[in-house]
Amino acid sequence: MLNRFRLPLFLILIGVGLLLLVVYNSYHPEQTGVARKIIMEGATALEYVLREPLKLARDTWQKYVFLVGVVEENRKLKKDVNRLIGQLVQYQEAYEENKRLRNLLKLEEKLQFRHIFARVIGVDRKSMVKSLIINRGSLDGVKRNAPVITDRGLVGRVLETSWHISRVLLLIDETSNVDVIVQSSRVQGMLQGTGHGCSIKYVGKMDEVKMGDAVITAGISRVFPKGLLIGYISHVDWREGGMFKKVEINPAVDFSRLEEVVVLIPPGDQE
Amino acid sequence: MIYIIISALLFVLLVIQNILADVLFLGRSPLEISLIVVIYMAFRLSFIKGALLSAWVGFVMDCITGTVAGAYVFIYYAVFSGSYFISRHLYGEKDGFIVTLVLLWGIVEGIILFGLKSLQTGEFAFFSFLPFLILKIVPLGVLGPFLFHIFDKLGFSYGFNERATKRP
Repeated sequence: MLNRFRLPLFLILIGVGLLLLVVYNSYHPEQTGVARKIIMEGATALEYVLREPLKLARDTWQKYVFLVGVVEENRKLKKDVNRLIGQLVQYQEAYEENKRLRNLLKLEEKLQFRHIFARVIGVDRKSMVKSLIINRGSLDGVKRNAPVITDRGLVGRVLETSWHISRVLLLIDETSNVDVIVQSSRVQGMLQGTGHGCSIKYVGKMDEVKMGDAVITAGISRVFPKGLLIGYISHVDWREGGMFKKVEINPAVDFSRLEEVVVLIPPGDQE
Repeated sequence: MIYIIISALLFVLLVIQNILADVLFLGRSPLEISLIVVIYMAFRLSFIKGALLSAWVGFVMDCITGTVAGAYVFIYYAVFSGSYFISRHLYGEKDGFIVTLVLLWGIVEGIILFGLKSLQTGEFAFFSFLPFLILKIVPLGVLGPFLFHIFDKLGFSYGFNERATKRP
């Protein structure tokens, strides 16, 4: 009798052990382990290598699709046009990068914290954890929970670091919480991601908030410095009898177009 | 040796599925071929080897997606054990059976992930999670039988189908 149930019991015991481990880990997020770092770095590098041919194919398609079928006598002219378009795209790309870096440099002048510039090398908004990967890691001085910003506003915080890369938890992730202030009325609340945007919790029914108001970090939790722009109020709703208003935020940062970011070193870690 | 190669191939598969999801669904939905792989392994491999490979796939998924450490290890272990248990008591490999099994485990996985997320956020917004779940499991259901056939062809060619040949 006991033999019959030995295997299922054994499987269930292992399963329960694993589940307890997961629950423990969700409440006690420790530093990233070495094995996890190796997999993260390996997967990011492999993904980069595999994505390159796709990117090349897409770029080639976009550049040449409209030129297919042009008559023979125009071939020479087409070559020249292609060469010039190529140059123009390169110049345009350099110009756009220059503009973005200038904006980051302006931001640098304003920042009072030590900071690290990083490039975005991967975005993942399809998984349960909305995150992006940057090309700076613990060897560059990036620390867990460090705020990540752009010239437009707050992006999120560092969720985990490997040696050369880090994962940044986006503001829009449901597990992301930030203490915020509505700039005009100084109403305080807790900003939480909704998966595709953000909303502020615990805004009382008497508190004055209106559409278009800027929302900035409150600086209470000591994770985020005070005064970083998060976004603008896009919708305010209050149901009769409710204690709190439902306040939705349109983030200032466009998460689908991030290319460069700045990682701030928390005050306690500054040299 | 063959299982070290399989582990490496599974790692590559997980990276490719991430890229495919971005290309096919514009990054709006995950394409979790790994779930079908785990179910397939439950039907074809011995328990120890299959469970270890499932745990490996889960671990890599945890690292790639940034989920709480152990979440996918637990899920894939549960999916593998459940499928293994089913495979010992039911003999069915028709397309409909595979689709049902993939959808069932897709829903179970979604609910576990949703539960973990709710645990972390302290909020229970199941209806906002529902579209995510549907987008996730429908392509898997469609792909399930097709991938089973492909894996079968690959598996038999390289001789690591340990259990299928023992079936009546």
